[in-house]
Amino acid sequence: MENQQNSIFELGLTDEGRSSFSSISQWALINAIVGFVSLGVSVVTTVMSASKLSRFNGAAAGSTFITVLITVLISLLLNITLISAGNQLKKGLALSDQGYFNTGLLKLTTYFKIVGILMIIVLVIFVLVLLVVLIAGAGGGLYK
Amino acid sequence: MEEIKQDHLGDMGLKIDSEARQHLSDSSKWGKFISITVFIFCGILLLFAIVGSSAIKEMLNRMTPGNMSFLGEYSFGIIIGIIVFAIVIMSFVYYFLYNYSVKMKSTLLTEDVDTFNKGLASLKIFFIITTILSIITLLNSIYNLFTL
Repeated sequence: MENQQNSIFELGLTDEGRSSFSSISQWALINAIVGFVSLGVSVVTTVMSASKLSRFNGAAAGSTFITVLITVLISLLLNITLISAGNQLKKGLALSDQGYFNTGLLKLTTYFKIVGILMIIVLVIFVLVLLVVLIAGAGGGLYK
Repeated sequence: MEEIKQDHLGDMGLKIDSEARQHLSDSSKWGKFISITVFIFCGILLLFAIVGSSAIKEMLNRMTPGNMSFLGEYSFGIIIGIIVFAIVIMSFVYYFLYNYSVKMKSTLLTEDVDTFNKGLASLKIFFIITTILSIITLLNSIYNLFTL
């Protein structure tokens, strides 16, 4: 019974762990801020390129707009989650508040979940593209 | 000794309670999935670079004869070198996330504070490296913006 209690309640934060969490929250905040700035720069670059492109090819400019929109949404979601994780962890450590600390960990987990789900989507697209290429290759071979 | 440790932890006010434990467990699972997926992607990329090296060479010669001329006859080797370098960097970065996941999972089973701290240190290094890489990417984007 005592062992069970140990395994559930006794793992506490030492100075080293506290310092690591503090660094993690700081770097997560910096990472998110850099992400926001990068997003802004990328959007401006793409809009400038698309405006040049639209003079020649309207359809390509349209598809660029959709790609930018999806990228902006994903990037906002990721960076807002990361900034929230950093802030909550920082507050939790500063105020020694378990609630903020746990919310920070939850947000960090959510961040990893979003990245993981995006990876699953990329994997599926990758496999589909590979299948299409293989089928097209096999089809091309048949026609020869 | 145990009493001193407990008092010390009590002063901090924060502990890994069941809720925090659940979040750390979830983050370690997703972290492991992400890092293993990246390792697999790196492997596939390396395989493509090796198997498709002749195709890359041909494509380089066909598509960018002017742009690559400054690299001379070494352009192909340089491109392969860049791909391998990128793979090494990616694997190195995600090794820290993998390390965090493994150590955190082990901590939740064994209650070892040292392993827990080592896991957190790995996550810290992961965030530091990804932030530095993000800053480099941002600087490149700014450069591209002004040269557009």
